[in-house]
Amino acid sequence: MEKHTPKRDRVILNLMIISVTLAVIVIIGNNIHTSLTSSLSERQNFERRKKYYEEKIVPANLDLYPARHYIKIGQ
Amino acid sequence: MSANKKVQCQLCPTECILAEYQVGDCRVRINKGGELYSLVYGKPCAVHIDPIEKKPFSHILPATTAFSIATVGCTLSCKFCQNWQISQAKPENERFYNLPPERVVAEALRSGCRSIAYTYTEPTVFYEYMYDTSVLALEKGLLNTYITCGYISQKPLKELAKVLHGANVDLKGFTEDYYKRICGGKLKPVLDSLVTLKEYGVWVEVTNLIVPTLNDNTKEITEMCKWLVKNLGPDTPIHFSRFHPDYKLKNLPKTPLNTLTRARDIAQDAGLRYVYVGNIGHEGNNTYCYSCSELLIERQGYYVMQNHVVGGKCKFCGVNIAGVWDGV
Repeated sequence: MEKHTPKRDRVILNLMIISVTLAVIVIIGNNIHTSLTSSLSERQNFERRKKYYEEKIVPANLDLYPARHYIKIGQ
Repeated sequence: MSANKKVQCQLCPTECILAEYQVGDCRVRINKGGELYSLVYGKPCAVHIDPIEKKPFSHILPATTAFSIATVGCTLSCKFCQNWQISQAKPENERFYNLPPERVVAEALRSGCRSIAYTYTEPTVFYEYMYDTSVLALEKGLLNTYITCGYISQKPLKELAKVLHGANVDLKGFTEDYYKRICGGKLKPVLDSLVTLKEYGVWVEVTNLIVPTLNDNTKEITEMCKWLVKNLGPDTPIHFSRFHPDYKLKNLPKTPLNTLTRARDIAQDAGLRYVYVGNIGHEGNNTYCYSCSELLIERQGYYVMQNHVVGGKCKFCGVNIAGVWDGV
């Protein structure tokens, strides 16, 4: 026998499904956006620092002498 | 790219994490290609021959000269810094000498200096240059002295201490709040440095710059002096230094003379045997025997007028006077 579902309940159920779907889309989209802008910002900062090094530090004839007491991270 | 070529400097307690081409807070250490480099090795911005009393050292080879060098940079950012033009500068913006370690030692010997002083700014930032120079100086019979804020990590300090003879540590205050607000650092690592230097047999003198309204209260000075007696011993000389308005603290007056005198009384009451007053003409510039109270070393400014310490002892009562009196 077919289960009886009032029309109003079906509408509420559909609205809930749509809301959850939209929320998931927004969260994923936001993460993608943050990741892209962060990566872009990191790239821009790298380029800015590299430019400063080449334009200010290299011409100053400061030799690079290997430092002691440091560790590499994630390399 | 930079994301996977980060380094962490472990020279000072700031422990900067640096992406590629990033320079540390000290302004003289840079990450290039995932390796850390010093920008100031063999590149001092200040080179002078000074009386050792200027450092100040009152118990190391009086009336001798120290070949004194500094590069730009500092591990702290004290608002009262009196050498801020070089300590807070970037090496690419300052003039410098090309003076590798072997030339420093040769020049020191040629000019008749008995010691080399790593001073003016914070020598920790030119650690590799200082260390290599110290090793060569030691071989040639010169003393190495380290005039420092003490803001250095334990491992590099322990290595350095093996080639040092003397250190004057600037203990800027005695609260974490003071170090955080005024100096941009922490107190605890400085206290650890003092203890380590003492443990390694380095002759230690302490300087405390008294800044009106900021670190001149009786309670703080008393606690500091008691800590010094307990942890470094009563023979540790302390220099209370007069503040002059400078850098970011031009709104404060010079330290009043009675504040310096009060600090001297507090230190003596706490049990410290050698208490000095600096940056001002005062009887506290002299050394007195802690046992018989006779005047041992009379100073006018940075110059020694008479010296009655003979073979490390008081000429009058024969008691031992702690210090480095005979060289290496």
